[in-house]
Amino acid sequence: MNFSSYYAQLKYLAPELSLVVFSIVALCVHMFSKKEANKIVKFAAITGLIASLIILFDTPLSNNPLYSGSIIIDGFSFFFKIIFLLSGIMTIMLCYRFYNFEGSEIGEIYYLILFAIVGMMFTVSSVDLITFYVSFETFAIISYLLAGAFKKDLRSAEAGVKYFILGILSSAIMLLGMAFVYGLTGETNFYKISSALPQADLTLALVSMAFFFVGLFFKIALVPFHMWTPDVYEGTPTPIVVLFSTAPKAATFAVLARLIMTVFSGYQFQWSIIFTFIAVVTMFWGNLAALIQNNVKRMMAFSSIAHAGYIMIGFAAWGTLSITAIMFYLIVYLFMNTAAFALIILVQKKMGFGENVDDLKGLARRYPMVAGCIIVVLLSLTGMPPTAGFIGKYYIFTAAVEKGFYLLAVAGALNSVISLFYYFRIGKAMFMETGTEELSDKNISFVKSVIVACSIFILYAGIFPSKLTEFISSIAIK
Amino acid sequence: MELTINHYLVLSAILFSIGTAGVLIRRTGIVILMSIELMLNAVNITLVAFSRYQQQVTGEILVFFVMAVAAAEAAVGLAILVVVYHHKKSVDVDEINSLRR
Amino acid sequence: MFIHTFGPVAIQIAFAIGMALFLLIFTNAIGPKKYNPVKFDTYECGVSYFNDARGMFNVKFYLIAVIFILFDIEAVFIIPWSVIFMEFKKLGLGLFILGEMAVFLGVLVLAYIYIIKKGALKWD
Repeated sequence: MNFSSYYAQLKYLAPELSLVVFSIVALCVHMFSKKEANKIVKFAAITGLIASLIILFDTPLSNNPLYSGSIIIDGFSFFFKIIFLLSGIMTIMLCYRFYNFEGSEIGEIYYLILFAIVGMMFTVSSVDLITFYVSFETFAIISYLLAGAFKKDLRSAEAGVKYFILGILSSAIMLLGMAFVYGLTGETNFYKISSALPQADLTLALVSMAFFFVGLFFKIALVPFHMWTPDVYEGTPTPIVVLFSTAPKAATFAVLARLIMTVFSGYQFQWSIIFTFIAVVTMFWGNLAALIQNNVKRMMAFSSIAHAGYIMIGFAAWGTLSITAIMFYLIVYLFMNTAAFALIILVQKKMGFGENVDDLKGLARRYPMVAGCIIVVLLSLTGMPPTAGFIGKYYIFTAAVEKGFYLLAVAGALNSVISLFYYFRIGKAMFMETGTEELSDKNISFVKSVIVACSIFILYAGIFPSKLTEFISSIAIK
Repeated sequence: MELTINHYLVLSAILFSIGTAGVLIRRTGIVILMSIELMLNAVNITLVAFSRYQQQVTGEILVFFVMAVAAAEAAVGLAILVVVYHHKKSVDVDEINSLRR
Repeated sequence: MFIHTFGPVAIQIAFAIGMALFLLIFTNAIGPKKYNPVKFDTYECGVSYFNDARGMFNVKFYLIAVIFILFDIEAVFIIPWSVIFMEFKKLGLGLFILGEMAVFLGVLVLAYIYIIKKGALKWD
């Protein structure tokens, strides 16, 4: 073994390492300062994320696994790392308004967010069971902490308990699946398992696959593993929900893609059936349950479940076309979802943030430009042209039709129509007459800029999708 | 009667089932935490047995990491339960119901 | 065969049970018996107990216990390292593997300083 190459390979891990350094700096600042140093911690965290994003674009890519075949820094992981870092940056920007009002800001969450993002970055790069498990649990455990980090609010602690118990239950089941995969093949490397698993007993391989998928489906919040989602999203501080609903889901989708390309590549017939079933159930459940919600946070939680269902259509109809479609949809979903949750932080009353649909009344008169941007976001969430949401859905349904999954495409289109009703309620509320309650405008520019940036991206990617599509298909997993 | 891998797998399956039943049936947060630790340790037995069966140490290395992760989970879980206890004066998961259904 | 694999275990179990039974019966048979209220206390040492052992513990014990678990479990990585250390040294990579452990312990020390700074070990 040549150990000098271990140091040489560090250059591939530069974005992750720089993020670790910045989070340790933030931790030390928080640790050694006597008074409230949250501003510096927040600044260090957001600087670290931006620095890591810049370094990421300078980092060489390699299609060969590094470190004895445990990590791969390919274009596919590069794409998802962009998603995580953008999600982290927008989360911390939204924290400025949220915590300034609530007054119970704890500096810990900023470096915890950074550590969680490091975990996700390693997760999408890992091609080995051990690396995968450790990095997956890194961000999973931190997300339980982040859900319960808002100590003042009982709802946050409850969200933490619910997320924690269900989360470690599902990860224990996933670990059992991993143990069986290892036992059947004697390998931990994804590529080696891929060639060894077809020789194993079919039933045992399928059982281990099912166990493995339970942990992943839980993190993505697919029906029937979605029960935690509305409660956790409601209880968790809103900026953290922005992180929860985008980055870990994207990471888990990436892992799922890697697994079905390598470990379970020999069982396409079986997992395609599972994914088809789950996609249909998830879409319908998410959209129908969202119809009856009055709390915008819960509505968006069900909406995010439904969007995971749309993405699962792409997984059911797996192929070169659907990989591009999934990656396109995920980055669009990042911006749509961030803007939709940022909407909740706009309306700030004396007692807290207005989370109900009725609280949004008069928003259009108060912030006309933001309301216009929100309309773009809502159109995109529904899947209307000329937005990126439409293009994303179009790609996914095309991929389904190309593989012969006509009914899946029809179910997806039908769900887009159902979702119109509850997104329309939000839009309608914004343009209604306003109440007379005193609202606060403190630090609102951060929220506004996030929403405007998201809607500009959505419009741009909706009108000129070809550049983004070309970029994605050039780096997609082969 | 020789001890084969099947015996270890049956033992771990029994432990895993007890753990799962504990998570689903028991109502105290602390006991749920203990049940989940039992599940993770059952998986550890599986891994060590498979590792022995395959004449490797890779599975045992994974066990080390599972142990570390289990410790971290226990720490985080206890911390969250303490926060809930401060609010509710109870760690009964049935009473954790202030979020809307 | 069964007796070869489990024989010693069976003997051990039989011995343990037999010894316990023997001690119980033998002391009961030959010991003098003087009953008074003190005999029925939990501890027959003169100090009377003050409450049930199943009561609530102070939350601070949890904190210490959690920190103990976290630092205790790190031994799981240090022991395998110490086992393979000499082999690496023979390959001329002693400094490399020592540095790896230094990084690992450095992170632990940082965590320890963090705990002290946060006042998790203060008892009041």
